[in-house]
Amino acid sequence: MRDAAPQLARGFVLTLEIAAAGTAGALVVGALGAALRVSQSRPARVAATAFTELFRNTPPLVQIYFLFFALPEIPGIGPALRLPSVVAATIGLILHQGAINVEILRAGLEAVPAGQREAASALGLSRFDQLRYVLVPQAVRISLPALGNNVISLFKNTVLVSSIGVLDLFGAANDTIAQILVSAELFITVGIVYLVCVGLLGALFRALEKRAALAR
Amino acid sequence: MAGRLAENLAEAEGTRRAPGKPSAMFVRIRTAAALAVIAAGLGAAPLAVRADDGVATIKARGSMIVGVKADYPPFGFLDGDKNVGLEIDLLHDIAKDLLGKPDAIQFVPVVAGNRFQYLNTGKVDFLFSTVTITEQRKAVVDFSDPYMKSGWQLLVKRANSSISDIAGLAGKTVIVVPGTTAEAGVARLAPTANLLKLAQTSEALAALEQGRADAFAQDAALLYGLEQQHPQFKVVGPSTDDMPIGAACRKGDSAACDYISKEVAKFRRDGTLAREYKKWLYGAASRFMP
Amino acid sequence: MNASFATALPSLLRGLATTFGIASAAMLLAVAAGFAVGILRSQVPRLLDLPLLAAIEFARGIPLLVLMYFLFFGLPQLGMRASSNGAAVAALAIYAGSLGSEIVRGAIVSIAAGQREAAAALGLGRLQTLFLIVLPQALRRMLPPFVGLFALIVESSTLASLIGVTELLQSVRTNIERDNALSLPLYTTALVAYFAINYPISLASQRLEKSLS
Repeated sequence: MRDAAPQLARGFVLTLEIAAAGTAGALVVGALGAALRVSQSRPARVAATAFTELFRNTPPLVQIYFLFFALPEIPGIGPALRLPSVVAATIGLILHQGAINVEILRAGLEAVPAGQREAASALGLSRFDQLRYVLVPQAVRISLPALGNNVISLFKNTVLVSSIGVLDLFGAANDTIAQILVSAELFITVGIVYLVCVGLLGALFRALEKRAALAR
Repeated sequence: MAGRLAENLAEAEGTRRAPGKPSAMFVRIRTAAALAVIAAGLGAAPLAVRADDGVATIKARGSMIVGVKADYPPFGFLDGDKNVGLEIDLLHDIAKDLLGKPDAIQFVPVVAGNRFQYLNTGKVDFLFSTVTITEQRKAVVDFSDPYMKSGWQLLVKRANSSISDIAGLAGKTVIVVPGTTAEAGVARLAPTANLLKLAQTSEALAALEQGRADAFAQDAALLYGLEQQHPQFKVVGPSTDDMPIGAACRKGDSAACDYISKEVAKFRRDGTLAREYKKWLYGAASRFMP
Repeated sequence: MNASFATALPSLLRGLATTFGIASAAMLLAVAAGFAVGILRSQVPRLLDLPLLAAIEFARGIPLLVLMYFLFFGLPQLGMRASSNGAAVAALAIYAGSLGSEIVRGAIVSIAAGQREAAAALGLGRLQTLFLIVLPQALRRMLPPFVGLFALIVESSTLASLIGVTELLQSVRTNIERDNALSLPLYTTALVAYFAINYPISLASQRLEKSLS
């Protein structure tokens, strides 16, 4: 099992990279989607709602399989949509957790006091600038607990990438077990690593929430 | 308040803003301690699967529970919902001798990556799923006498492939199935190749078709079967790591495998083995029969 | 190709039934465990609460797939038998149960304060207050998140395919194994099916929340 350590370490690094890329992507998707959902334009609202409901209500594992296996089979444009496994898996996570973020941030935007929007437009800011400098930052601060939970969710969901052969920490552990036939101890070790990471993320977000509360 | 409750819990995962929560560090230490206790327990507990006579267990139950392949023509695959194939037919013959009923078998689909876990945790009586007999595996499981032999080769697209042997894999992308001798072989003989690991045969074929990889390294028997079904592919390269294939039993619990060894010898004598091989492999039979 | 889809249909429907089966079983266990632990946690002093809190943090912190693998492959080494379905339901129940206990406790705590004082003024004991006054009101607040929890369980049931449960996703993959031309249609069908299940549940949860608050 000592020989497995390098592969597991590489897997852990990959898990962190996917989690980081996924979190950043999901936040961008969330912010854009939430802005579109409260937009003046009806088509924008409808499109954003359709996207959100579709990707929020379908299992991330099915989304990942679809992106990796089914997309390239689409007649005509299929071959152009041949995504490498890491990319397909990360996009799957971004879409699913991003759609969840849209809902969180939309509720956050609605919770921003109306006075803020009025003040911002009184200052002559365009709608886009209002969102960018006044409304979205406050929405984020208000939704911080729920956003934090979603980040933790995404981190735990990185294990799904192993289902299409990506060698993240869980994938590397399974690979090791398949090759050298060792078992339960490795799952326990891997489980502890995830628990510790989730604990650290939780502590980080509680600290962020405290800071956000102080800043008000 | 209820709004925040539902929003948090229905969408994310429950509010972590619990009043009077202990520090994160304290909770982490607690959970780590709990896990350490479990780990110690697992390490100390012996493998609590019955190590007595496997054959007696099967007879008492009245049926065999066997780990088989469900994606591996012509050895173990699905026709509709039925398990069929060379190994499946051999199992029916064995069940007829052991239990008097050729159909007294429960087939449990396994893949190379999890079959030993299924065996060692007692979920199957034995494995009959093209398990290659290697020295490394003999240290952890017991085998029957071989009923087949095979090596691994490469499957490539007929139209545009320049690969003709293992040397041609350098720097290319190769699909392997986790837990197979082909996977270990490619890693050993073509260390600069990129490995794309996929669990199911159809996924590997689709990936090869889509150009995600340049070759698929797997059991020669499987690849010949695939070449027949899908003429856009061809098998190339010499057969590497030609090794015997047998049934696998838990270490120290080899009664079932000893019985199977006797059955294999019997099938050789009375022509059953030759008959099954001809049925499923036609002219290629002699290449794979041990 | 249409013929192939038609032949796949029976096994897909069987898979769907299995999905509902394990999701319902897990939901029942999760609600039961959620009530037990949630009520307990809302009543016991902080010191006794810590082991429960540790258990919940564990169940919420560990990825569900790791938990399933551990129950399926690890438990037999302790002498317990674990089937695919059993391990899947147990893992789902543990995970959802931890969320359920937070729902229950949160709802109780959100009601308790003023009511407890009023109940004390009326001379009601602690348990009487809990079961006669607080819980009935808390139940209304728990309903929307519990409805959402069922959707989460259905969504998470797809992980069971990775430990051999023949639920809907696994049925899809087995059929694709037989005929790869079914890959796009069946994966699309899977997305549509899960959406058709979870979207109404999600809507119901939102409507309930609006009408109950």
